[in-house]
Amino acid sequence: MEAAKAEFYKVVADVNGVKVTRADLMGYGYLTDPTKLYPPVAPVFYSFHIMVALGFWFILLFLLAYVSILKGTFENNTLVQKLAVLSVPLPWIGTSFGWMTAEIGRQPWTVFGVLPTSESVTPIALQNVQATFFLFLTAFVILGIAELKILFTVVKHGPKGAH
Amino acid sequence: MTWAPITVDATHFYLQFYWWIIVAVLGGLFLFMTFVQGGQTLFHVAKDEIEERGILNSLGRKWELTFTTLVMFGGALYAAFPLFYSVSFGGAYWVWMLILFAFVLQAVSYEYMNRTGNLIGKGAYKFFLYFNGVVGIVLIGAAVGTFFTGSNFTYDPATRILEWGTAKDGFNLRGLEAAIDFKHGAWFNLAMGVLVFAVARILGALWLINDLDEKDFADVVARLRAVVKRCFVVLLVALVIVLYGLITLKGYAYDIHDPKGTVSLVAGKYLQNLLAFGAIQLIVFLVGVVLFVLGVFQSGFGSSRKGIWAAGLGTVLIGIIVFTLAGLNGTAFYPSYADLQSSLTIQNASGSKYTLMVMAWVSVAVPFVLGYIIYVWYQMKKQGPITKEEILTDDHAY
Repeated sequence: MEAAKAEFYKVVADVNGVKVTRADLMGYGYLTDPTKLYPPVAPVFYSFHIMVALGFWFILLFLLAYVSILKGTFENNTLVQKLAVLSVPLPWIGTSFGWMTAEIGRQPWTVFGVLPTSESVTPIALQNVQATFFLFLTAFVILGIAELKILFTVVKHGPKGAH
Repeated sequence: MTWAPITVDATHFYLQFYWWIIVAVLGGLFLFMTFVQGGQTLFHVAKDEIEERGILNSLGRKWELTFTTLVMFGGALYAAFPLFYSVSFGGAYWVWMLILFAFVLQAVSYEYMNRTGNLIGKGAYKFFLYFNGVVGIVLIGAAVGTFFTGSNFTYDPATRILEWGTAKDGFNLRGLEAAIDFKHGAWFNLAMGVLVFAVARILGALWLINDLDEKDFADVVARLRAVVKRCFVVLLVALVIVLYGLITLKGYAYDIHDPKGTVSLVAGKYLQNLLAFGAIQLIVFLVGVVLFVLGVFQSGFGSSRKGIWAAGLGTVLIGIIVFTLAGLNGTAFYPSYADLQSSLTIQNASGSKYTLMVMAWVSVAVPFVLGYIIYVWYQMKKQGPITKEEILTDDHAY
């Protein structure tokens, strides 16, 4: 405990004669370099904008579909239908970019100003994490293909009453 | 290595106590809900496709609730005792990852199993469900076993450095040693795993006996009754080993008023715990056992369909007591045999008083959620047991 206290109140910087302790800095005391204070900007910028653009696209697409339904032309409006089919994977892409925005954008913090990611990570041998990564990757790829195959089977079969 | 002094603040202590009780109740409820996992190991009692789909549909209507209960149980445990989260998840990495993996496979199997174009065939998904039922449940049971036998870690609260296993070994099993290290109670952990598995399987069979139509599935029900009898024998053997362990194992005890919370090994600790608080735990435990046995005799040996209810309630009560034995009355719930003083107790591993207080207010909503679940369950049950016709005509059937 005494060691922890000493570490906590240790002077870690001297700013124009003002002594700054680790306690004053909380999580900042862990960071060694000012450039580590902010996340990589480009991936956050682009992932955020892609997500937002997709969000607006969905609103537009639904407006188009809604208007053509009101006009009673939806069944013959192949443009809207094609756009709708092409948009099927977009929500997934939007969600993924949203996650990237949040998770890259929060770096370097797990708890802002208190706990940096580098300190909250478990010191566990890399091989363990690699092994679980590939275990889950393999399972998810196989299940992902299965999901797609089931989807395509349903689509090929068409809506009820179409036959 | 010593702990930071425990501030024995009465309110904080009562909140820690309260949250351990909630964890115990959720643990007990989860144990009951493992009838889904138990049922997933019983597809072999079906002799044709329609019988198999009867089992799949009966379990398929409940698997999400089991999953949610597990998440609630884990969530409450981890949120109220965050140090347990970081020590056990970071330390016993492989145990938790394999449990997670077993449950990920389960989630998709119900949806994909009987769909055309499912890529790897029905058998593969049936195997996933079986894997979840055996590996997932035995691992969870064994992990609960380590609440009594301890784990191989040291944690220094000053530097917050956790070391799991011995670095000298070269290969760190990351928690899986709990199943092979017989010097440190692997026999008890394994017996606990088998016990939980036997309970899950018995409950699974009892659930199906109750939920499948007696006339349509007469053969299946007859075979399930035989399963109950067989598993009951396995359960008794595992139970004897677990009870022997609880009586003979030295418990990891500490004084709740000791500011340092020094942990020491005490013979007969778990027996003492059973008799603490005016022996209420002993009474609840015995009521649980009587109810469980009653359920088994009603539907396993007798011809009643209702055995699941007595056995289920009994399981909840027994589950609650297992957790209170492990964590209350000055007992370290996640002990370390490598370094006694690294052991986690409800006092040194809990969230702050503020956090627990906020969580306690939120927990007031739990009875309403529970009430809603019971209401929906009742509405589903009211429609009667699953019939063959229902499976063949319902578009939503699995």
